[in-house]
Amino acid sequence: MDVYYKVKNGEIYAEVRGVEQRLHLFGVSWFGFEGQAHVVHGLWVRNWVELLETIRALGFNAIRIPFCTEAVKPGTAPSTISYAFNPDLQSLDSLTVLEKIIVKASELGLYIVLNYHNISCIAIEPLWYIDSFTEQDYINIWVSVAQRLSKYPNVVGADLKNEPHSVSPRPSCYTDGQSATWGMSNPKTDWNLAAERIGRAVLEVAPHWLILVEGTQYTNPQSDNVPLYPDAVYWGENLRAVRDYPVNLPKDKLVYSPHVYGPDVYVLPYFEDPDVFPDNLYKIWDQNWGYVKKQLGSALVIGEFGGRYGSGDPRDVIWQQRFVDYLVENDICHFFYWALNPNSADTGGLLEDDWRTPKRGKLGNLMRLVKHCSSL
Amino acid sequence: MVTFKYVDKYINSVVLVVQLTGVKEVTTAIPGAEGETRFVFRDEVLAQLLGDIEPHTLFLVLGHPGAGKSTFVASFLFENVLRFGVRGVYISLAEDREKFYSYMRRLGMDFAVAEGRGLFEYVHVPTLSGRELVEVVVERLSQEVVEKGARIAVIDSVTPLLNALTTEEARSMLHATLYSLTSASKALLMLIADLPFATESTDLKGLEFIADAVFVFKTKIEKGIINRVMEVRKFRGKPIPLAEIPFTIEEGRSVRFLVPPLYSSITLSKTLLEITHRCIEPLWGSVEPSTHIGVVTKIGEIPFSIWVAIVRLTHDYKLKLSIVSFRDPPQKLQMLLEAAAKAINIVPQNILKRTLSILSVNPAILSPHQLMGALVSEIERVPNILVIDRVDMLYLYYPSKLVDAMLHMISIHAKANKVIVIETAGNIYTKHQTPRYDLLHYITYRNGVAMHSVKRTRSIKPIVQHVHELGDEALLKCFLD
Repeated sequence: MDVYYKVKNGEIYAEVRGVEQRLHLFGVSWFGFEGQAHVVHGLWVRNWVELLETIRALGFNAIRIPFCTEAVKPGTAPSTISYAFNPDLQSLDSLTVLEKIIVKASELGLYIVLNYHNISCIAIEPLWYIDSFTEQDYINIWVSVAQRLSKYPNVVGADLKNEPHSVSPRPSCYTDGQSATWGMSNPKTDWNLAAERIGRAVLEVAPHWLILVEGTQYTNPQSDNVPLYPDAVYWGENLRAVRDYPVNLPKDKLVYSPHVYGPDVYVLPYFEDPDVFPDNLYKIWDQNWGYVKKQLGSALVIGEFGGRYGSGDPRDVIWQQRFVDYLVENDICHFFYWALNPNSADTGGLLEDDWRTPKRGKLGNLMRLVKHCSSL
Repeated sequence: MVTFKYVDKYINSVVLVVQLTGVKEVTTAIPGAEGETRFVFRDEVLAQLLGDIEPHTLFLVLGHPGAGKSTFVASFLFENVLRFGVRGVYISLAEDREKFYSYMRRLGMDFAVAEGRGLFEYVHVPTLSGRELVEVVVERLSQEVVEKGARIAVIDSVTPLLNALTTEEARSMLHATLYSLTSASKALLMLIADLPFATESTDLKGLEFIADAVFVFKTKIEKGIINRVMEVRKFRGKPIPLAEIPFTIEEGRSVRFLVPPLYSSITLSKTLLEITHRCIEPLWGSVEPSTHIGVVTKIGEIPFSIWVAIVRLTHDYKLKLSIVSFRDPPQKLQMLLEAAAKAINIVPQNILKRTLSILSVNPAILSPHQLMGALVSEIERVPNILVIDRVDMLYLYYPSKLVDAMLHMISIHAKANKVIVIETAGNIYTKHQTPRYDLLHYITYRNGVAMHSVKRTRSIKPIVQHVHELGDEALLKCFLD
């Protein structure tokens, strides 16, 4: 492979024939491959190439594509595609459609991050295995995906698992055996250990990729013993344990990728606390994941964030603005906004229901960050 | 072979039950394989039932005014010209261009796109008298097909042409012109003909004999509500799987045929996510996607604890929830959800955010077809849980066999989409309900206290535990702990 993606001093670089180029990932998630459709959504009203062109035209240079097990197994038939709008996708299986999207994205200058979003194609599992699907099955899927798709130079890396989380509250979550933990020295539930195992298997096939490791919901009793709202975290947000239990993957390959949301996705108690919301939100972010870049110097990619920006919880506009302010202040220049899809029930999308008209308010806010980062 | 039979006939709507005797699915041929484009139906259900269509077919679409024949034909045309990149022409003797384009755009078909790519032409023929009209139309048709290479041609409608000719003349026109034209040019010709209201047939002057396929679109107005059905009267070279197929016309989607998917389209994934909670486990066990739970009382309300269970699962697994109620307005259902969330210390908004829709449907003003359509489109949004609330109201307006068969169909749709259905039925319980349930949650009241009993009707799990009379207080207490 001509390109090698790597992390140096907390920043991401693409190295091509010995020449390093700094890279910013200004991205958006385009979902569908992780659900019953087994293909990105929106193809019932629009042509897939036009949608890729729309993403480019809106000012993004990257797409995060969540997928589930069935969608990346050869032979799976996608549904919801209008072949009148997408005649060239006729008779193609889901994986081939994914491959076509990656190739076209490459032509358009769009990077791709692949995200194993869930096993079942139905809902997000707490761990990377379930009764009927082992960790080895999970690794095998990643290996087959890497074997098929790592040959395309615009694929930057693997976001190993979406939002590891708990099935019970603190403190029972640390020991219930079914909730994701971090630093509990339990290989069955410690996400930091699993990420290492899965990540190494992926890197064996695709050594030029980056490995994106999301946070959990809770970690271990010591790391979660924080001053500000220890219980109030989003799934995939919690990187509090990185300080004491960093993921043991090559430093130049490892990227931490928290998911951070506001009141449109879930109302946490600190939104009702005037000492936190909105002026001191940054303290929560510093505590839960921001320190990973600011103090530890590791690379951060915000894997998901988003909200309705006004049409839902009225606090979301200020939340999104403060969040972008925070990213600007800390030069956190890698993000994947959730989502392109207007049919995201809680957050809405960057496009209106017609899958055509951009939502200017959301976009304008994001572009502040893009502008700032581009000037660095 | 898949066969269908009527089980009920009520206000002329047809209820279909799939009889499974060794399924053989109709597969859609991939065009280009034999160098010849075979056309397809846009509607997946119809495509599955009828397969694809050879070119050089003469298609007769007969129907009552407003029955949906133009919409059906236009959607067929739209799909195929864009999908296969072939040229199509719509010769209209009635509607002008502007009306046609704007109406079809509302249904999700932007013919301007097809026209922009040189794949479509709309021809509006001015009103002319008798034979002159026939000449103009025939000339225009041959021009489009022979010179411009149209592969699909529509005449909407042929009725004025037939009226202008004697039977003998019509026969000769049909044979000499239309039939030879399609077979020589391998074009697909779709002729629309009008059927006067409340009639079943009309004098087609022999057209029906030369047509390869005859579809009849009918409207039946009952209780001020339009029911639409399509009858497949003839389809050369194909088995006719069922005589009448009910359908609806929807914004953005055009025609939706209401036939449940084949049982074989319900796939059982190896990677099942089972959802449960320590308080729910004793009742429902681990709930697999596709499970249909019937919560039934003979006398008395559905207890609040059921809503708590729904909220608990939705919250813990970040599920997408949809509710369709036949009894209560959306506001009341929202209040129920909020109260259930509050009872277990969940911020109510955090449940409402997970709710895709709360739909209240009054069966008094909907035909069974519309009702089916509404439920099917809710399922197509793929919630993880679909609550169908108070189906007992349906029994007030439709015969019970129809209701049971309809809900069975919905159950198959839900299973094909891996949607969990939680159906509640208050104050009614009959033996016809049970076939659709995977879990029968039966509620009785003793001294005013609800008692829960659960039976699994069929399970692939070796251990099947039945619950007998678990008190509602114990259940609620478990949730509150």
